[in-house]
Amino acid sequence: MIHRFYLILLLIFVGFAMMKPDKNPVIHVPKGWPKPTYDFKKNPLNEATIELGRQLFYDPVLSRNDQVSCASCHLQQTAFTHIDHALSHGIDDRIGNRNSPALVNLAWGKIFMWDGAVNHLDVQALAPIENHLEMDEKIANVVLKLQASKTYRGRFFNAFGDSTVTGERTLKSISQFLLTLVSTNSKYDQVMRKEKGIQFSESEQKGYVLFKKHCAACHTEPLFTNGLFENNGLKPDSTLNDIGRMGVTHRSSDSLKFKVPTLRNIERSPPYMHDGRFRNLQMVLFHYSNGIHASPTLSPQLKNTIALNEQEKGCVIAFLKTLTDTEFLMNPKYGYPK
Amino acid sequence: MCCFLRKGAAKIKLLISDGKTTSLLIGFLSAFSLTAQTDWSVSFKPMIEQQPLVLNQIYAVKNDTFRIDVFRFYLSGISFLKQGETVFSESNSYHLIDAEDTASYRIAFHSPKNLTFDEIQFNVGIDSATNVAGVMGGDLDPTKGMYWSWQSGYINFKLEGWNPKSTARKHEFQYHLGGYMVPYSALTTVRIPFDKEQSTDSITVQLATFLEQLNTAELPAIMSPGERAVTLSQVLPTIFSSK
Ligand code: HEC
Ligand code: HEC
Repeated sequence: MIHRFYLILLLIFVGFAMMKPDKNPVIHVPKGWPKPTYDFKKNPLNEATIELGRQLFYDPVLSRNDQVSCASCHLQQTAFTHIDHALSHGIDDRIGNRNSPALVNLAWGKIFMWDGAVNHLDVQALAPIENHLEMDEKIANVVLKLQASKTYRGRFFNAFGDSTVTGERTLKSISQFLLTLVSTNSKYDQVMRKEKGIQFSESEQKGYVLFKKHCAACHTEPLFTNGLFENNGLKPDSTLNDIGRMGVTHRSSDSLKFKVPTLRNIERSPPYMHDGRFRNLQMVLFHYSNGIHASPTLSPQLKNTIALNEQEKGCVIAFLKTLTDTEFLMNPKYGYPK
Repeated sequence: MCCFLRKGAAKIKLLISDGKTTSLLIGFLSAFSLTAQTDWSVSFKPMIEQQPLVLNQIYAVKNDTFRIDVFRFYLSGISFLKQGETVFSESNSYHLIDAEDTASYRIAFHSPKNLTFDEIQFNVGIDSATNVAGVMGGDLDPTKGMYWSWQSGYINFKLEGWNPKSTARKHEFQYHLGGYMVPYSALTTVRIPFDKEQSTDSITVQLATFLEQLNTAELPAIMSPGERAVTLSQVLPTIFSSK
């Protein structure tokens, strides 16, 4: 008798599980990639929520004066970085103190910002929204503005089944959009997948070998970051005095360490480094071969000079350019909402 | 798959129409209510010496003067003990106590009837697991003004006001105590005698004890995690009592 009861329960559960249609989108994890770090169970992707997140990402309503949107500093065509800006500028043209990083493959991110000050993707958007140099708004006020908008009440209804706007829902929607920003279709990926007719050129291949030797310890495939904090030998800029990770942990062993950035779409996202000090990849390669600044926390991999001649540097750059994923950069799903 | 679903639905119908199963179902459901539950509450009353806290009002404390403009803190992981053994722990226990909303002083419990206990235990602040778990709703929603935007983490305890000795602008002071990362975890645990019945009863939050510890001349503000936040947080367990 008892079994029968459990059987009913089971059938009801299975029934519900199956009624929830498989139209729930999932992000594509290519073969051989690690599992995403993001816990999708706590925020299951849903078309309406992703769309709401996209609307929010492109809407200056998130800023105090309704003029700055996330996209102001994160432009799709430049892998969601701030084109041409060493230090990104925000509200009332105030200049921030760091370069805006690429927004790609965030589902695999463990910790966010150059210094890891943000510990979860869901709370990431709070930082720019409330930073007085960026959007200079309060999340509580954003919620009031959205709740007052009939259009947004409708979008929240579509996403969550009722039109109540909360901080949690607002942030989870933004996360959903960010999670869909997956770049896995560069020439590099196609070569790795052995797609027909796609091959590295001779210099790209040579560059790949050099890259694996000198760079991959930190810029580890397939994400092109090991997700750790390292000091890659940049001389501190005395006008900024950015101590990196140490600002968060207060540990002197973390001084001048920054999160290893991904190199996917790197060709499209100049200028480079946390303060945007290098305008092009030639300058980056010159740094690694000739410009390493020694300090107590310098990463061991960089203590011995990386000897690269001009031709070899050219090969590494040719390889880095194979990380450009045009489909990602042009995908209308990531663009300004119609 | 769709066809499996239809079959499943048919089966459920079949079983439900079976009288025996239905009575079993009713029996099962009523079993839930056998252990009688009751609703009761405990209030946390912020006081300054003998007077209940009212925001924006001036109080004399010892030979000093204070005005409190903002007072908010988290209580979490509430449990009740009898002779050292836990007899009831509230699940999903996170509460914001906010002087701007006196209704928040009262925490309602739903528990088995006739519980007896002689101590109450709770944390002042938010545990580290919750601090790294992303965005939450309800009292933990970041719109509550208790979340640091520029460096992830909850503010456990927030007190802002005025004191003539303060060296900050307009003699104001601001203490935002929090931090979950080792070695700067500011979470504190309080365990105090509380031998009450399950009726509406209260715990005093004696702000005067905290104010006496402040040195607003030397340190009029703490706004980030670190050693100073940890040190001042150590005072928090001493401000609660059930007298
Ligand atoms: C004023 C320019 C500006 C605006 C507006 C802005 N950002 Fe950023 N964003 C940055 C900068 C600069 C950083 C790096 C900050 C740091 O490391 O301290 C960053 C970092 C990030 C990161 C972390 C990426 C990583 O890999 O660590 C994410 C995600 C992000 N922004 C998303 C957003 C979202 C969502 C919005 C809108 C709510 C937004 N940004 C608005 C400039 C901006
Ligand atoms: C010891 C670890 C390490 C090694 C080895 C390393 N990098 Fe980096 N790389 C970093 C870190 C950390 C940063 C960010 C530094 C900062 O901005 O403060 C970075 C930044 C970069 C950037 C700028 C990315 C951006 O979005 O701004 C490029 C390009 C780059 N590295 C290429 C390379 C190449 C090419 C090599 C090999 C020649 C290499 N790196 C070797 C750690 C490393």
